[in-house]
Amino acid sequence: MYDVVVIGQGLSGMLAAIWARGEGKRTAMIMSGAGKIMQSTGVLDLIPGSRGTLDEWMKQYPFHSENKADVLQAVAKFKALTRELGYPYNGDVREPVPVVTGSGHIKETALYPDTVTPVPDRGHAVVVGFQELPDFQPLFISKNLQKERPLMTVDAIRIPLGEDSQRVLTQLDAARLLDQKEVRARCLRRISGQLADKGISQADFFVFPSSLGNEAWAQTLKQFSEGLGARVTEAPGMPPNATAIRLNDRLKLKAIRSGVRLYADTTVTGADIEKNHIRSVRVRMANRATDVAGRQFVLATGGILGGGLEVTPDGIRETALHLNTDGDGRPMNPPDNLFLAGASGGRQLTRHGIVGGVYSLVSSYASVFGLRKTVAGGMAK
Amino acid sequence: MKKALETEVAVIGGGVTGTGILRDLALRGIKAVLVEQGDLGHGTSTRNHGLLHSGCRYAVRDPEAAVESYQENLILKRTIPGSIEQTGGLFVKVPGDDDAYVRRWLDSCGKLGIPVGEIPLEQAFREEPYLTKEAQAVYQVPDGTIDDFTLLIDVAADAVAHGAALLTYHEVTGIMTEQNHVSGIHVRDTRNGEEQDIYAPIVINAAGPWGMNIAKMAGVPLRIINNKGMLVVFSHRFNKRVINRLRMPGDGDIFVPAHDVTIFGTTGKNTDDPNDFSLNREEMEQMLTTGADLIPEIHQMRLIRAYSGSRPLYQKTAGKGSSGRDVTRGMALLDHGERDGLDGLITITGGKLTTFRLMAERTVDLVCKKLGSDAQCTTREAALPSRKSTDSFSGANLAPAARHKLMNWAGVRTPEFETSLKDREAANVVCECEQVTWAEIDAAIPGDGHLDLGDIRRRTRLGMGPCQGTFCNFRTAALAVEHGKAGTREADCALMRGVKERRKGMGVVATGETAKQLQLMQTIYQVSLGFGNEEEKQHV
Ligand SMILES: Cc1cc2nc3c(=O)[nH]c(=O)nc-3n(C[C@H](O)[C@H](O)[C@H](O)COP(=O)(O)OP(=O)(O)OC[C@H]3O[C@@H](n4cnc5c(N)ncnc54)[C@H](O)[C@@H]3O)c2cc1C
Ligand SMILES: Cc1cc2nc3c(=O)[nH]c(=O)nc-3n(C[C@H](O)[C@H](O)[C@H](O)COP(=O)(O)OP(=O)(O)OC[C@H]3O[C@@H](n4cnc5c(N)ncnc54)[C@H](O)[C@@H]3O)c2cc1C
Repeated sequence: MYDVVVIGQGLSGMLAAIWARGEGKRTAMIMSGAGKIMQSTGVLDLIPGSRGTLDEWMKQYPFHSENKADVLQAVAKFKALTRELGYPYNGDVREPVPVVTGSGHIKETALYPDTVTPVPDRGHAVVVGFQELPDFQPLFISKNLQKERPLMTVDAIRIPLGEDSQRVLTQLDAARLLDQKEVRARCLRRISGQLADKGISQADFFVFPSSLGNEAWAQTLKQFSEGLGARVTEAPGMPPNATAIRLNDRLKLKAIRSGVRLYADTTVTGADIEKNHIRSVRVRMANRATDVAGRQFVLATGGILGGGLEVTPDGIRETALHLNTDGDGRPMNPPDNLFLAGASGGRQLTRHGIVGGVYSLVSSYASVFGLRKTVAGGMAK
Repeated sequence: MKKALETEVAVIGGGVTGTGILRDLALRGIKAVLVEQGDLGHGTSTRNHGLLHSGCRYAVRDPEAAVESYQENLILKRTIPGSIEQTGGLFVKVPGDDDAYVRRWLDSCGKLGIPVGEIPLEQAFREEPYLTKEAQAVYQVPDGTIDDFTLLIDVAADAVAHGAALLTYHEVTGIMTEQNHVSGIHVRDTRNGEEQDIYAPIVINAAGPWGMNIAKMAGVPLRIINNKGMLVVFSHRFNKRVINRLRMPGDGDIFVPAHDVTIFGTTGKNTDDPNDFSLNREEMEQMLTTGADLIPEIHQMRLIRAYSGSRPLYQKTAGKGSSGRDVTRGMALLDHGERDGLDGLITITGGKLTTFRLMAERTVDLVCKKLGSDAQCTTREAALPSRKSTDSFSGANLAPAARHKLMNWAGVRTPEFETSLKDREAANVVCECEQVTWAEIDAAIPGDGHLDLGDIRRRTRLGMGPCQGTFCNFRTAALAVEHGKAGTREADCALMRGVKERRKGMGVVATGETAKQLQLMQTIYQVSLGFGNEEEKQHV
């Protein structure tokens, strides 16, 4: 019997599990496959795909104005956690910042790791691409960035990353290569060579794919910004982005180390619900099925993208517990010991398919600590 | 000054009919220009089922069309091997369908000389495991499948190689006449608005569903019923052969395998607007329910997209109400000189993909008569080059799957790709689902700076797999900028257009995994890559 059973291992699920465990609760996390955070950008937005202030965000998502302090506290708790994980996040949800993406367009985000630097209005930027990486094309990116930042000078260069480049790499493959010191040094030499060849003068901002090291991101960042004498940023875009993978890996490790019991490759297929109270959930593993009992449950199975909701010809279906939902997939009259975190709360929460990282972290916080005046439902005592 | 051009024959419409005519004209040494408002195959010719009919489907209802189909089936298998897969087909009798029809059908096929043979049920079930076990009788027929994309590209290329001219993205805006004779056409470049006159004593209206517009421009009466059919694409190919339902032709009774997928259809609803490519979920659901009679597991299989196209059906006497399927699918060749007193204008419409060559032959025979030429048609024998290449691209550093694809795709362009693939980066696979390399994409981008992901898709299969372009469209647009093939503005626009178009085809089938994929595409473009802002900015 667990105190808290978290279903789903996206950003929302992992945060809820880690925080519940941090409160001394016996916690389990049931995970089928990998969370969507693996395909994410690793930056946490307010309203996905558009600009907006914290106030607008709070109106679009079901919060009360009194919740602002809770929201700030949730964010502070998240930032403290990332520092503890050795992958610190910066930013202020009250002041979203512009960051450059892997298309060269600028988007606003609220929280971002050390490897991401907000893009300035002016100055001289150089976009650096790797020949083996089709998902990040520097000329295309530099031209889009130029359109977005007319006062900036933007150049582009392209270098081979490998010794003998022939394999097509993803951003994550590239990040793993850059974990090696020699590769980084070679990379810097090639950049300087290209800059000299093309007669590009000293720049103050370098834009890289989301590949600046996986394990050794801090060394990469330091070596690159020192070596180039400029600020450096990752521009996340096409998955997989190292920016997101680092967060995922560290959160998962943290969950394990702090004693969350992980049920890997396990799918929740139903629940034993009595008088609107969940006693246990039914789970299916590779070759057996069993029940996992708990006092409280967190549904962090994601939305349509995550698989927590499924579009069928007859409407949207909740897949894990088979709850009755409305037309948007929002559970109606959910069990009294069930808390909804992240995108599992229904399609009305998503913008362009996702809820945005800030909502994920605030709803996970709410599912563990509750909010002063709650709409989403919080874990009281 | 307005540009002008002179030729012997102006062909309107770059569907399979117009393109076939262009090739036939070129092979007979007649000067011709084809004008198409979009890309080749903008209309019905890339919006159909891709079935190379054996004629069996029409054996009872329209024996003439059946015979034509069968004869053309044999000719095309010989002359267009690169675009045809000789799958063979099955006709399956399921409970509830009319037994008397089966007898009439067998009788008619026999009389028409179309070879039909019954096969034991166990054999049919073994070979087609998804076929309903309720089947009562199964017959094999010489159906095949046509890749309409490669067909159009190859036929057009052969026409151009024999001296014909091709103007895509040019719309015909008017027909020039002198007294009672046509003298040419007005055309407009749809991308830069430039106008041009093409003088020609003979003008052929092969505008398919748009045929009435052309007739109107010329001031001649013409009644065409556009009968719109919907088709859906499954994520994988689950049948080896074409599977037809053995009954009077109706909705939802054909499963056609195409490369790695299966295409199922179709429906028939009349529409007034030739530009109506709309998709209707209810219509699709009904069709799927009917399809379950042949393939019971149909509802468990993943759909990746849907599309629709219109059959242009000629109606002799304007006015009579018609459901579309009551009108003959036979071809109509109209000499507007004889018919309406406007000499030099010819309309060719109706027919089928399968009979396009015959339609071209008959049309060009008429052209020759008018021009007083005795040049004979050679397309019964003259074959287009195959798409296979024996060469293994040994000089290129290719992934095995990409090599395999190229060996069944490159055909006459093998030497060209051998050279371009020497560049390592050109050998990189850009589209993983369909194994398309940058070299192929590069070759499919026109030199004039216009970038259209749909045009590239039709020439390379880029983005046709389960991910529907989520990853490769972005790579392609960005690489085009990188290689100086397009500007960023153009690349961004091409990308947004491409995503929108793919989304339309996916939206109507978006349940389960496809709904997820659609959502993922949206999230990546609008949120991860920040194109969301772009749209917002454009709206203000
Ligand atoms: C392509 C992409 C780009 C993104 N970009 C951004 C961005 O730029 N900014 C931003 O703020 N956020 C971004 N996000 C992240 C997003 O905002 C959310 O944080 C996230 O998708 C929502 O996470 P979640 O934890 O609610 O669910 P998910 O991450 O979807 O995780 C839910 C998981 O639960 C599991 N699950 C489902 N059903 C069951 C079951 N029955 N039993 C057990 N497990 C189950 C699934 O395996 C699933 O992975 C992006 C996400 C994606 C996919
Ligand atoms: C749903 C469906 C399924 C089918 N399945 C099969 C099948 O399995 N097997 C088979 O053999 N046949 C099939 N057919 C029939 C076959 O697809 C058509 O008969 C054939 O494609 C018609 O070709 P077309 O060239 O006449 O018309 P289209 O391909 O429509 O070509 C007409 C062209 O004219 C152009 N045009 C129009 N107006 C202008 C203008 N003003 N200026 C310049 N250009 C203009 C259009 O852009 C268009 O590209 C099917 C048809 C449908 C609708």
